[in-house]
Amino acid sequence: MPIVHFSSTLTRHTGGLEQITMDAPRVKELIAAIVARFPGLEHEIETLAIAIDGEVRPDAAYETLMPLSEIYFVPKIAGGGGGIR
Amino acid sequence: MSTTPTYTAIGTRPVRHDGVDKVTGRANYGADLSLPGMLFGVVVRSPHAHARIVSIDTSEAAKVPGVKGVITGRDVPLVDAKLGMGEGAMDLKDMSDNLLAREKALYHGHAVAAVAATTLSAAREAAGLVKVQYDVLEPVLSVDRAMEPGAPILHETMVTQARPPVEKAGPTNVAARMEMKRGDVEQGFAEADLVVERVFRTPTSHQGYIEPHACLARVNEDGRINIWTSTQGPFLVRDATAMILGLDAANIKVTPSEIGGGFGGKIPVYLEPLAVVLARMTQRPVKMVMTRDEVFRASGPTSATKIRMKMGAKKDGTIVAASASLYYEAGAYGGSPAGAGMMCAFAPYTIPNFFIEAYDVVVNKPKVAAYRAPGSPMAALATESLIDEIAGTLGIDKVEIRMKNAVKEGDKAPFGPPYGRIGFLEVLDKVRDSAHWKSAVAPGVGRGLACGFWFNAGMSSSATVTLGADGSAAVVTGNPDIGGTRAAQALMVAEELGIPVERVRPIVADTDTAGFTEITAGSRTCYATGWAVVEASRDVREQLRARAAKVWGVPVEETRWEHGQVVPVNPSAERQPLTVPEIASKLVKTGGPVIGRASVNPPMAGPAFAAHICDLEVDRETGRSRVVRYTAVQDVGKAIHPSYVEGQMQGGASQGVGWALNEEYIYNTQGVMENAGFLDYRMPVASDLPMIDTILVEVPSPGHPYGVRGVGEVPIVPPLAAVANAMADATGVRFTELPLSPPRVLEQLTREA
Repeated sequence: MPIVHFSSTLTRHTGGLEQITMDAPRVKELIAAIVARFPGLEHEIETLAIAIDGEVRPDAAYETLMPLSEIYFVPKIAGGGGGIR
Repeated sequence: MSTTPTYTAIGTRPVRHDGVDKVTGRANYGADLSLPGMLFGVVVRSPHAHARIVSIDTSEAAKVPGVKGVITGRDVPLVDAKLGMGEGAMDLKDMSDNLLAREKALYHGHAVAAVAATTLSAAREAAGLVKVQYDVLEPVLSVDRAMEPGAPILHETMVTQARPPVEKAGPTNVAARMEMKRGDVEQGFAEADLVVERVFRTPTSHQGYIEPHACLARVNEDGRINIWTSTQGPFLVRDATAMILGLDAANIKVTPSEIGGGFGGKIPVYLEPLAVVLARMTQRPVKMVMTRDEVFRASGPTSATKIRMKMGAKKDGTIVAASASLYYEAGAYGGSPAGAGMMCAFAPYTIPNFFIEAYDVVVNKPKVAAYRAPGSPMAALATESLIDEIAGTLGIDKVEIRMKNAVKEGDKAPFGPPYGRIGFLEVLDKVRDSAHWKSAVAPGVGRGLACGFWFNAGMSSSATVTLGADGSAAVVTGNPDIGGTRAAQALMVAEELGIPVERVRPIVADTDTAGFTEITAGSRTCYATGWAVVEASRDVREQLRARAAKVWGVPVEETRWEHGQVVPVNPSAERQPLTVPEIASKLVKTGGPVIGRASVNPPMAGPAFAAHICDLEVDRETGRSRVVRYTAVQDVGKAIHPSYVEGQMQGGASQGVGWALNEEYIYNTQGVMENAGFLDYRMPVASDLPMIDTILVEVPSPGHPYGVRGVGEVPIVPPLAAVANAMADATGVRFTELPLSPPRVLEQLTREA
């Protein structure tokens, strides 16, 4: 199952869990499952980009996940590197 | 076993396609276009850094002969929306208020009104007659003042967007706060043999592009709008203008001019919506061109910063803990690159325990714009200065200490995911083996080394490749060419189609002609738009296989592409390989013209690492210093046109040296910039610098057809620290505040003596 990692700013919504495994075919379903389990993450995740196996994607909803995919949530960087908010 | 691909065009150095027009003065920049009946637009700007606008009287201005229109904030809607831009979003409410102040002027130079007249002199005269009554407020000119209890508040409604949330969120001047951590930082410091801690400061500085902001807007009788402008993002200008003014973007066409530098500063819109409003009001084309004074006071700059950083290391140089607090000025509205600085600060090193926090703070200065690897150079100044100091104290070679702690593939970035294939160790290897590093340091000279990290963006891009019957090709994209990207794109088409690069015409098109393409920024154009160009060229190749199959009367499966030709799987006397020109000559007979197209939205490219070596000669009697030798080493992924990659490295290094040695906004106590011109805002010119030597390291970025990484931004990351470390080496004194201008250096040398 894909492995999801939570950064230090997200673990306050996961009861301290830094990583979980969660089965989902795509990022869209994965996020729905994560939010169902940790509702506090919904607003946080909306503002973040997603790294799938090291590849950072800002628009990953329909990306397919592999059984051992590693998922990280990372701050978005505005085009040209402007502000991160 | 991996094999290195061999290329025929990629990696060569042809003359750029746009070169002759530029050196002969034929190229058209933002201010070059004029139209019949055109009016000249001039902006009225606030003489106060912080003031409530009580009233604006435009009646006298409107009476000036030749004046056709005067607008104020009342004429531009204040939208509450965000414009998606790649991975981030632009706050159009802030951008709109920045275009024309409504309630308050938030910096000296903030636009409060605009005038259009038949001559520039009439427009300027009228601008001088716009009467604005201000209630002047105390300006907030530093993060220290902005964060003091009782400091004047710029925005009464501002609350801190904080992760994690803060208890008292507003009203405040802290627009945002972020943090990251790993391990147990206190335990890490407890285990360290040496702990160093310093506070670093960098000044407000400007991108310093040669060409001022300029645009021309025309509104047709049917309501369709044409904008010609110097921008890094024609689609962004279109969409931002439409959203701010409540117009249909489908009715706006933006044509980008040649661009005389941007470096991030030509991403925001400053003039275009005003020109459109004036053009709609007067039914005449309106041209607006900033003066240099306006460019300094009302566009750019980048954040002034204050960074407190602490680092702990074992005796062998292993860094075991680090902490940092980053305070970045955002200017008048939130949105500094503090978060990017936070993510970059420790990115080159495997630090097991760290805590880092970043504050985005509004002050009464122009809203900051992106500037080449925004936020990273200031953070690197702190990180690389402390590593330099630790190495010096522990007696460890300055390359070795960095190699000992350097990240490599599989190591986790401080912001989370593990790095893919990266080339930081290879870069440091090249530094150690370089003639510069091995050379003796001359008397009176100090040598500094510093490294840097930057992400490279992905985002959406489109390209079309049109094949002519003569076998030549045109490649059309929507990215203004700031750094030689047209030449690179032409090389990609030449490589894929096996035709001479001189037979490829790279074209930067308007927003009605090119497929949607994100801005030229984030070091993304050669990577992402280049990717689209490669795919579009391969689309042409596939179509040419079908045409060859038709000529030979065989199924397309019985053809293959090989070395710039379509080759039959089963050759015969009638079926000999066909070159692109040979097939192109038969296009009409085989089905008509061939156009290849592609659109992509790739992930972020592999990140870039750089290391710079600086030799600085210091005159202890005057404090004046001079860079006498400089070498930039960088992992570029794959250099498509090495000359322009080197040019990016040299340009970034030059800008960084200027930032380190001389550049700064000098404000008086009222928040008025006192050096808004190139005479007093001292940027390095060619005669100030030695030849910047370059060493290209090519560790391919995973995924990209050629392994391209972005190259344009990371070269400005190391120079601040490289120069500061050279200054420390030359003088024995650690400088922590930029710029290292002669008065500051002399003062500190005198004090330390």
